[in-house]
Amino acid sequence: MSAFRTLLLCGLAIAALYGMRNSTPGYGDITAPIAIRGAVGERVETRDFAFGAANVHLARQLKVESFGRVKDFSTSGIWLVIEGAAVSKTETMTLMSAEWLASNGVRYALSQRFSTVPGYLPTERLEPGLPRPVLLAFELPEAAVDQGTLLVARSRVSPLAEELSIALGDKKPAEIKPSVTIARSGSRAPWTLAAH
Amino acid sequence: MSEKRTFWTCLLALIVALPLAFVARAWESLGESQWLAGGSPEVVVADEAAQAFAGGQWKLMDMRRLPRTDDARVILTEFEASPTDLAALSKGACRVRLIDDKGRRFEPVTLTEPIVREMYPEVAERPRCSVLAFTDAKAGSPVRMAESFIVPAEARDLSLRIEFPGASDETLVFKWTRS
Amino acid sequence: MPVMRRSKIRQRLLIMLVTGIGGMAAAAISFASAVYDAANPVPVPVIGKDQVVDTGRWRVTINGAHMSSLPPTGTKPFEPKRFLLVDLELDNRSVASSNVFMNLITIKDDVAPLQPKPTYYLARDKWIASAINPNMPEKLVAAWEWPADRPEPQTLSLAIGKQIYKPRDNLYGAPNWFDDGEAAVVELPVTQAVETTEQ
Repeated sequence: MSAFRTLLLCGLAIAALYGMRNSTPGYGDITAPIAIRGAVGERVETRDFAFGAANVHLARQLKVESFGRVKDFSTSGIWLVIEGAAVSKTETMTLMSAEWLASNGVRYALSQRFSTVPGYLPTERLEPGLPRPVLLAFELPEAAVDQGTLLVARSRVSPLAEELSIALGDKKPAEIKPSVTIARSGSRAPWTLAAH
Repeated sequence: MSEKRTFWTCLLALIVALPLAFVARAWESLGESQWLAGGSPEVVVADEAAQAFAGGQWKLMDMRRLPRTDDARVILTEFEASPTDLAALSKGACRVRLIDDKGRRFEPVTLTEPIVREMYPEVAERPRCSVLAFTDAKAGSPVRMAESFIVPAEARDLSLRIEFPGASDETLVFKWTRS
Repeated sequence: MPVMRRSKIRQRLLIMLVTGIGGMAAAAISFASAVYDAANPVPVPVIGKDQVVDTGRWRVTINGAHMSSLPPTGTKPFEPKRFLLVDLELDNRSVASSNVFMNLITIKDDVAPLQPKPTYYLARDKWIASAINPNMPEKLVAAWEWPADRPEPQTLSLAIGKQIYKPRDNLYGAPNWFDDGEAAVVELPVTQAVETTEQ
């Protein structure tokens, strides 16, 4: 009887250890940024900054007009362009990291193919208390837009930093425009966005 | 001592010893972290007084509020430093910040603002605070520097905070009560 | 100790031996397998162009190579230079956008390796390539600056690096991609670019 009890206890201990080993989150999950959730159209805040996505556009081709010349950007998927506004709350900063998290877990980084787009998020210097309009552009396969989430953070590799997680929800645009042109503008908004 | 008493004494000692072991290991990191430390000692200077700091006599000459847009203003700060210890000044790296009443920290702009160039062209030519500003300095002759900041229109109680790590552990804080 | 019986000492020695054997056997097997792997490396396949190479993180297809006086941007450089341009197609098979293809392709050469490292251009934009997104294969051009004192090659041997994904690495237990030797060597002829008038 005592041998059986010993064996049973051993088995239970092994099962408990196995369960603990498999349920321990990995290093990547432990040091992952803290997500603060929101939706398109509302202001989402962390302790240091706030961001709100206002307009979402989908296009097959993107044209950027700068200094009189128009540069075409084609893609094998589609372009997702988000217009929004960002403000810093505590100190001068730039929001360097923006990613699109598709529903299947694939992450698409903010497109770096443009050299000068006015108001592009990683180039906009935010002073505390002064909101600025910002622009984001992602190159995605068409299937990745549905149920996707926009992740905005101050920098890419900051463990346990706060990160905004803005769900597209039902704000997905109904149609994909054939082409969208972004041009520099001198009026209130630093750019104009025209769809064709 | 009975066995039971030994057991409980050792357990209590463990509860005390384990956190002590953590702290002993991480003492330096804890000291460096923002959480516990609270910042370097500050030297607060009243209007127009000179203060010895980081191998020089520093003085805030002027802080002007210039218009920019409806909701933003440009703050132009002029300050000077008379070097007393050139070796120390060449070692440090100057860090200038503007703090308002809400504790928000503003970094100086990197490109000269057009309004500064228009209204105060001679101030616009002055160098920003950095090791380069002190390369041709001679002991006793003041080096004039200027930094501009973009702040919201409602920012009040602005103070200029200068840090010179490498030359000094302290933070120099100029409070400007006039604007 | 002298009070214990000899049989008890032998018993203890036997237990120590038995428990030690497991550990020693593990160490010996691991050493032997490391020596075996080093002595018999997995042969690296040598293939021609237009074939897909699975390197773990990327699926690479080398489409062609040619020498040209113009970089892929099409703007003539200030001093006359010669460029070795390799056309390739990259498919990102990992879960995030990545621009870590700088060390993917190296020229296998007996002579000193070409410096500096090649610059990768996106064929679509004719501009420096940034990150490639997963599931969106892109055509790129790798450009090496060919030194003037070396004869231009007729054939090229390119080594394609392999990467392996570890969900928990050995240092932090963090997920990461690591270089894992060569996936394949591609041999292909080098043509001369047709000199068209470009602005």
